[in-house]
Amino acid sequence: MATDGQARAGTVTAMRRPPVRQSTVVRSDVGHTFDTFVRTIGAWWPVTLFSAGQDRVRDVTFERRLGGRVYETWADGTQVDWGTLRAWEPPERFVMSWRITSAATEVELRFTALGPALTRVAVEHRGWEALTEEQLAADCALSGGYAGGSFDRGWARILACLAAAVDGRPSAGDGA
Amino acid sequence: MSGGGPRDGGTGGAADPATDEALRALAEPRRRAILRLVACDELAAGEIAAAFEVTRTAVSQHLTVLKNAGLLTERRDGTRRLYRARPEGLAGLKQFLDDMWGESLEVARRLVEAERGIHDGDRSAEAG
Repeated sequence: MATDGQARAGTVTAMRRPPVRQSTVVRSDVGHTFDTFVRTIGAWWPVTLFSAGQDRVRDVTFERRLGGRVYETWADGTQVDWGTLRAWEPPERFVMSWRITSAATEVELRFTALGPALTRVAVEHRGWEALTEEQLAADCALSGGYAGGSFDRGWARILACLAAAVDGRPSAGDGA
Repeated sequence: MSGGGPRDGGTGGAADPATDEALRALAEPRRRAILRLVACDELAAGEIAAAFEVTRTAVSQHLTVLKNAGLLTERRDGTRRLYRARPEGLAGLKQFLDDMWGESLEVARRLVEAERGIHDGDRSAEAG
């Protein structure tokens, strides 16, 4: 789906751009599957690396409407946004913007009825290639002032996001 | 059921030591900046140091960490050492993301099916 036409002549790296795609088949009807995925999002969303609160999370709220917020609430009442719904089309799909520290990517969940009690659920995690130069320059500024230079869109960006997320993980006595 | 309390250890960290080492190597902002620098162009150690206006010594430690984490290749050209990002080193990170989402879907799948009274042990009994 994502074209790699941006590869420059003479670039050293030639990794294809993500998105990340995974899917599974669930033994239930599409309506129940969609509803349960939404309702239990706090239990399965892969936040461990990226969540601000991690073990402090008491609850996850999913506002079921276009533009709705998805946010975690800590035991002390602090709310931290995960993202907002860019698409809300029950029971077929929803799309959530997902901020990973300074970068925003997008996650789409698609629900396809395969039968009366069988549903395919597919996730696509994308947006890595859409990060702006400003965000990367800001990241460079944090790293000691290097700005400019050429960097490969795609994996260079995903690694920057991941690394920043690793960097931003709360340590003892340190807020996110 | 909402998030609350410790998460299952399945997604508690990188799936394997190599990926974990890569993530740790990337945790340092200067090393990320170095990788971005050499993602598209092969550069000598001196050129990398000059880009950050630091000494060779200061940058060489970072280069070693990145190399050991499999994120950087080094090649010698006469007396110069040339560096570029190693895409294969990032393959582990992509795998990590694939695994991360794969595990999430599995957790969700089991939650949905449990509400229907279906558990994975029942698969063999499914009429299909």
